[in-house]
Amino acid sequence: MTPLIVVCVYLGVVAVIGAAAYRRGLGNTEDFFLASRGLGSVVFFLSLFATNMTAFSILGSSGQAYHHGIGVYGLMASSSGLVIPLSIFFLGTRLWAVGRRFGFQTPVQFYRARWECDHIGTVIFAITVILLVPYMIISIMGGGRVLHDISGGILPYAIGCALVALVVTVNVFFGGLRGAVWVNIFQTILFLLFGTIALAIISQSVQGGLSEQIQRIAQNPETKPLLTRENLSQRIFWSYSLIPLSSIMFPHMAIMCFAAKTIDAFKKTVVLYPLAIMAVWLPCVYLGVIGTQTEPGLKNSDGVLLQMLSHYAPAWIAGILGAGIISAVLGSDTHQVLAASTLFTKDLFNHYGGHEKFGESKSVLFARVFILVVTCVAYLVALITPMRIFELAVRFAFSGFAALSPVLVAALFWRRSTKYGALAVALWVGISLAGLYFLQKYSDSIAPMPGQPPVPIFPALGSFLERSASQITFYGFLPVVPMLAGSAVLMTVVSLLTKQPSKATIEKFFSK
Amino acid sequence: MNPGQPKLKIWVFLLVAGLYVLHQDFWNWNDVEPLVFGILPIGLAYHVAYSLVTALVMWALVKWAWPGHLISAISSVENRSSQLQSAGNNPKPVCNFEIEGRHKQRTGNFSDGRKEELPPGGCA
Repeated sequence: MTPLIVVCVYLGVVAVIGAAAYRRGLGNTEDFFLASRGLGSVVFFLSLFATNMTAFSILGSSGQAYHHGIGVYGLMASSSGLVIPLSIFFLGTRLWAVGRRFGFQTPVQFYRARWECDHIGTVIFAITVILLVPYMIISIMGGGRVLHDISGGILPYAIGCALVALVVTVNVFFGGLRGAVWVNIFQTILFLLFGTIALAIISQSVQGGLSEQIQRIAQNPETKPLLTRENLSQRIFWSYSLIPLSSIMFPHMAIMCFAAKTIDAFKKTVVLYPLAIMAVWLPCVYLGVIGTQTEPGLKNSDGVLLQMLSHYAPAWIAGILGAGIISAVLGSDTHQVLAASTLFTKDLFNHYGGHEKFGESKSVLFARVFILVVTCVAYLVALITPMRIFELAVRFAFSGFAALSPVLVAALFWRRSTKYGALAVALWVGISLAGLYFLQKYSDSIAPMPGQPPVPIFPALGSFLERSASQITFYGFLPVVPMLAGSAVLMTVVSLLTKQPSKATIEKFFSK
Repeated sequence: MNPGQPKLKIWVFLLVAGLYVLHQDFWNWNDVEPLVFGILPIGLAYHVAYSLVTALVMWALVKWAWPGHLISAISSVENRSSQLQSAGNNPKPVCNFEIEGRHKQRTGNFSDGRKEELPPGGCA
């Protein structure tokens, strides 16, 4: 019960901070969505990191390590630690610059101006929203499940989801981005410390310390592969290094780039990002592996850290650490909800005449009403839909956003790129994801057990299309590889075959 | 920019490319030993070191390849805004570029009522 009380106090503080930010609001969309583009370097770093970290970073990473071992760190953390700061360095700074110069608040506004397109911008908007919404819903589901687990089952899942949705709504409805980033400062510090504290406490308590536990894993032939990557294909490992390209394409991350006060605000983020990822992921992955010894036979491996904390940490510390996990949930979910509201307000409502008809203050009102509606709908969907559907959708979303990255690269760097190139990529991503979904469902019946080698989906095609326990592979590579390659080729070829934007537009964006 | 900087920039970009290649550490794939500090299997220790080196390379990237040129175009907008401010009667003109609407002219609006076309500039 104590951990639940600590977490509820924490949720109350988050809601109050969000409401306090309301007093500082200026009542226009730039202030509501971008905090008047005034985020300094430290706040920007803490907030951007909170935006990108979800409950998966803490619970999912340890759960994956419980099954797949130490390879999870290289697979997801060290690759993200390189690719995400690079994408912020090369793409984020340039997004900031065009946002600052031309007043853009969403990437679609930029695409519309850059390629003189209207409805094609709407197509990109639609793909973006379709990929974002499942992520938003699964955040609420994850939050509900964490609260349920932390309370030892006392708090029903539905109430847990409702609490998360309520706190997110209050925070964003009143405070907009300012409310979200104020809370993020507090949240990021909490979950950056989470792993180190958890590791320190558990290492003191487990029998023989960490060294003995590792020796025991290494000496048992059944568990030894957890300390190597012998069960992990090198092609899959490399494929995962492309997934973090999705990060900057997620609208909540791209929109954050518009909110920095100066370009120098990006510097700390670029340098500290790899270290911050390490601070969160390393202890979680390591404890996930140790958990195979202290908590053997778990069916829900994502709960391994919570189990370890309940066994080895005093109740009040477990509560604070639980608040750290909830921080990761709320940090990303608030930005996802706000991003959905920003996209609908700026790219649809305002773009199709809402701003001219109703004015600036009504646009903010529209944004707030949208936040209320979207969180209510997300909550209801979270209650009635199985989580596995959204887990699949989110996995697809990462590949989809990564495959959309050539659109942003071309818009920022390639004068000759055209709106038809962007349209071709958007359609390719949509069709690829629909095809993947079909293949996934089609091959469910032949999916091998975890740990077993993949099987061909169509035996005549050999290893071209295979099904592993959880995913489809192409010659052993993840779908992100052919999707990204296809996007890059389509962007190039279709742009070269179609008419480029007017000279004036190109000059506007590219002349020094 | 000092004269040696473009060369350094190229070296830093090569360093980044090399770092990406080094992520695929196939030589550690099946090994547990040596256990670094007695608790970290070599495959994990390598990637911890990799994260630390990545932070150093990012520092080098920020130091020697920072896209500072992006600021100059923005500064030109802000300078023109302040010139208009000093010429006008309104003590605090606010630059608020209109981008709403499907076919609206993209102009800079100042609170003293004047409008100005957006200047050209680079985003890349």
